[in-house]
Amino acid sequence: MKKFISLIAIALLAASMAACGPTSSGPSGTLIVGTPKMNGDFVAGFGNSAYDNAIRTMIWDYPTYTTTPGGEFVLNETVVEKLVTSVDDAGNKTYTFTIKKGVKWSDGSAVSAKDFVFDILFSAHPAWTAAGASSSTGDSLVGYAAYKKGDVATFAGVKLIDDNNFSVTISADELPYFYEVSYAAFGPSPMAAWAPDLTFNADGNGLVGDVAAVAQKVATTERFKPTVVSGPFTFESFENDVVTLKNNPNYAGDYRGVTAKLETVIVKYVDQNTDVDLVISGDIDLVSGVVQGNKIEKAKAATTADVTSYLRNGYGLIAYHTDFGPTKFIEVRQALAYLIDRNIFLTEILGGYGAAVNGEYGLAQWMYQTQKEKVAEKLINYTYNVQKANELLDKTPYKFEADGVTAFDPAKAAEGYWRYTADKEVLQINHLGTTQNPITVLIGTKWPEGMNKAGVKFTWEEQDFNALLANYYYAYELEPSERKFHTFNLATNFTAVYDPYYSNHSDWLGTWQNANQLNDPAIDYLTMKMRSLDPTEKEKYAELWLDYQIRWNEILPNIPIYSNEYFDVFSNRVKGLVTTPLYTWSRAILDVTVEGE
Amino acid sequence: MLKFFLRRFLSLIPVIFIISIMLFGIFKAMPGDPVKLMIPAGVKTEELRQFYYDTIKARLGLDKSLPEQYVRWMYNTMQGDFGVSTSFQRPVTEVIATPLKNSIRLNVFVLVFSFLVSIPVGIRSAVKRHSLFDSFWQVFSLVGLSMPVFFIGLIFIYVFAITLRLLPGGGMPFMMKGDWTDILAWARYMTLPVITLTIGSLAGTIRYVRNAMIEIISKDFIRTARSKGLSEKVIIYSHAFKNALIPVVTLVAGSLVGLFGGAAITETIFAWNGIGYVLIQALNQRDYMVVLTMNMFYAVLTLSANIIMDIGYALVDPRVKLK
Repeated sequence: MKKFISLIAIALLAASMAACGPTSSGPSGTLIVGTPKMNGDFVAGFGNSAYDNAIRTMIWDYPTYTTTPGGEFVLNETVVEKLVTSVDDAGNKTYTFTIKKGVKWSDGSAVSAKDFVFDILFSAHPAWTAAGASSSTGDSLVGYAAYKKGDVATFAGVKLIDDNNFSVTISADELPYFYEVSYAAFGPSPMAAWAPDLTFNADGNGLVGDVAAVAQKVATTERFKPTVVSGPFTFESFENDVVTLKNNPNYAGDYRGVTAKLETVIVKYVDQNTDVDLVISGDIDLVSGVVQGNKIEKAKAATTADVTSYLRNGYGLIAYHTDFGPTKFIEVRQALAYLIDRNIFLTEILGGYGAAVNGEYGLAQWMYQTQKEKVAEKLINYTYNVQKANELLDKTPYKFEADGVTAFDPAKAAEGYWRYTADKEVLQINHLGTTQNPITVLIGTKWPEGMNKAGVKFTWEEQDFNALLANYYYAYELEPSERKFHTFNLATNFTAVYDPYYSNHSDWLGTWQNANQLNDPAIDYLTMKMRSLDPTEKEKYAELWLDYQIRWNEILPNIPIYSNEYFDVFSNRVKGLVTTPLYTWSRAILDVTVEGE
Repeated sequence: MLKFFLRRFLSLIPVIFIISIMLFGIFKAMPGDPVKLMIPAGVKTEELRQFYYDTIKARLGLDKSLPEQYVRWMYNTMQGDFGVSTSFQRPVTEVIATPLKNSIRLNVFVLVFSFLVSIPVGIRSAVKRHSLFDSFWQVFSLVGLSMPVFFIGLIFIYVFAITLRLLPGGGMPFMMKGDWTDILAWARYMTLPVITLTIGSLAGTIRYVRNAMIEIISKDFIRTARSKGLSEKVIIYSHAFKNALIPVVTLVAGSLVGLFGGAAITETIFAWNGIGYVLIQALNQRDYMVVLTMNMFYAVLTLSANIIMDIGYALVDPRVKLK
C-alpha cells in the first residue's frame, strides 16, 4: 500500500512539476508599435508610404535574394534550393532557381515556382497598372518594356519550367552591373488565392485568363486585407489606424531560417508630439526613427525606456539646378556652400544627434565606413568662410558692381550691395522649400546672413510638395520664362543598391530622374564604371566610389547639410531589438521578445 | 410648412449647381499635376514614364476635356460615385466613410456636452451678471478662446495619460471583442478628445448664450413681467430664454454642419482617425476628388442647415411665419 501511495505521490509530483514548468516554447507576447499614419495598402504596388511598407515587410517574404543588416545581398537559402546561371551569345544572363519543397504560405499550401513566375508576370502586366498599381518588378529582364506596355502578351525574360523551377533572363543591356543580383531578386505572390482561374501559356512566360479581373480583385480586396501571406506574421485587421498581426505558424523563416517569437504585433497610429512619452508611460512599446534631440534626451533619461540608434543612410540637402542661372557655375555653387554654417542644422534641428557629410553618401554605407579617413582627407569640407566664397565668386562673371564695370569690393559687402555681371545681371539666388518645414525656415533666415557678405541677393519661398515637384523635378517642362528657383531643400535616402547613374548621368538630362540636370563627363564616366563592375570587384568599386565622391564634392550638385542619427525608442520589456538603416524594426522584429507576458 | 419646405428644397438645386461649377472650376484652375505625383519613382525610361502617365490619366478620367470631366463628375456624384482619390488611390467613399463616422461620433458628444453646459451656464451668467460665478465663466471663456485647443489637448495628455496613466494618450480602440467591453474601450479613448473639444467649444457658446440673454433681460417686456410680480424663475425660463432662443437656434443649426467637420489639429494630437486629417492630406496632395466631394457635401449641409434654421425660428418665435 505504501508503495502504491508513494507511486501516486511521485506521479502527482511529476505532473505538478510538469504543469509548473514551461508550457510551450511557441510564440508569445504582444508588441505595440507606434507609427505615423498608415494609408492601409498592404500589397506591393500601391502607394509608397514607409509605414505601410513596414507592415508589408512583416507579412510578405521569401525573396530569392535578400539583404543582410549590413546591406549585403545574399541568396535566400530558406527558399532557394539551387541556383544555376548561364550567359547566352547575346550576353543575356539567365538565373534558374529551384525552389525548396516544404516552404509554405500562411494557409499551409506549398509555395511553388508558379507563385514566383505569377508575381513577375502579374506585377509587370499592363492590367495591374490600369488597376492603379505601379511596379518595377522585372524591369531589367529581356522583353520588359513590350510586355509592360501591352505590346505583347508574353514576357520573354521569364520562364516557368515546372512546379519547382523557374528562370529569369537579365537583358544584356543591363549588364555587367555591380548589383546584378538585385535584378534577380523576386518574391512570390499567392497565385492560388489571388488568381485561381489564371493559367500559364505553354512557354510559361504569359498569363492566360482574365488578368484585368484579377487585378481589379486584388486592388480592391487583397490590397487592404491580405488573406494568404508569406511573412512571419499573418494579417488580421486594419481598423481605425490600428493594424493587428498574428504569428504565422507556417512561416519557414528568413534567410537565416529565423521565425518570429512574438504572438501578436499591433501597429497603431500615434501623434508624433507624444510618441516617446507614450513609450515611457507604457502605452506603447516601440517608436522608430526618432530624430528630435529633446525626445531622444527624454527617452535616454527615462527608467522605463531604452534606445538604440543608427546613422541615417542618406542626408538632408540643398539641391542646385546646375543648368539655370548663377548656379550653372561650379564656383557659385561652391561659394554658396561656404556661405552657410552647416553646424546650425545639427544643433538647432537635430539637437546634436547627427553629422555633416561632404559627398553623396550615407554614414552607414560600407564604402564610407571602409574609407572614412580618405573621405575626410580628400573631400572639401565646406565650412562657413566668407573670404573663400568671395574668392570663388570673383572667378565667375559675377564680379562687378551694379555698373558692370567697377570690381565688386568684398569690404563694402552689405545687404543691397550685390554682385553683377558685365551685362549688369545681378547675382540672385531664389530658393524654394516645402511648407511647415523647420529646415526651410532655417535656410531662409540663416543663408542670407552669409550671402549678404558676399554680394549675393537671396529670396526664398515656402510652397507645398507639388510646387517642389513642378519646379525641381519637372523644371525642364517649364518655359525658360517660368523658371525661377535655383535651389531647393529636400532629403534623400540610399538603399542597398547605390547606383547614381539614374540621378546624375547625362543620359537622363531633360528628365525628372536627373533633377539637378547635372552634365559632367567625369561623373558620367565614374557612374558607368562603378555600375559596370562585376559584383565580385568590391575593392575596385570602393576606389571608384571614392573618385566619384571627390568629383561630386568638387562640382557640388547639392550641398549636403546634415545626416541624422535615428533612434528607436522602446520599452524596457522589449528585448533583442537590433536595427540598422537597412534593417529596420519591421525586419529586426524576428529576434524581438517581450518580457512580462 | 410642406409647401415651404418643398419650395426651399427646389431653390437649392440651382444654388448647388452653381456651387458645383465654381468648386470644380477653382480646383481645376489650381496649379500642379496630381498625375505626376502618382508616377512611381524608379521608372527607368521616359517611354515607360509616359506609359504610366497616360494610364493613370485615363484611369482617373483626366484625359477628357474639362466640360466632359465636369459632366461625368456631376453624373457620377448623383449616382453616389464620387470618383477615385488620387492620394489614397481608392474610391473617395472608401476614403472618407470611416473617418467621417469617427468625426461624427466625436462631435455628437462634443455638441451635446457643450450645449448641456453652455446653455445653463450662459443663462446663469447673464442673470447673475458680475457675480463670482459670472466672472469665473468669463475668465474661462477668455482663456478658452485665447488658448489653442491642441494646447489644451496636450496638457490633458500629459496629465491624464502620461503622468497619471488613467486614460490612453491617443489613438482608437483596438482588438474589439464585440461585447459590452467595446463601449468601455470607446469611452476610454474618446474621453480626452471629447473633453478637449468641449472646452474649446464652450468658450464661445457660453458667451453667445450669455450675450443673447443679457440683451433679452434688458428689454421692456421683462421689466413689465417683473413689475407684475412674476417669479424670477418664470421670467427667466418662460419669457427671457424663449426669446433668447433665436440666436441659440442659429448656433445649433451651425453646429449641425460642424458635426460632420473634422477638427484636424485635435484629431492629430489624439491620433483620432477623423475626417480632418483626410481633408488636410487631400488638400496637400491636390486630391481634387476628395476635396471636391467634401466641399460639395459641406455646401449641401450648410444649405440644408439654413432650412432647418428657418423652421427652428418659426418653432421658437410665433412672429416668424413660414411662407
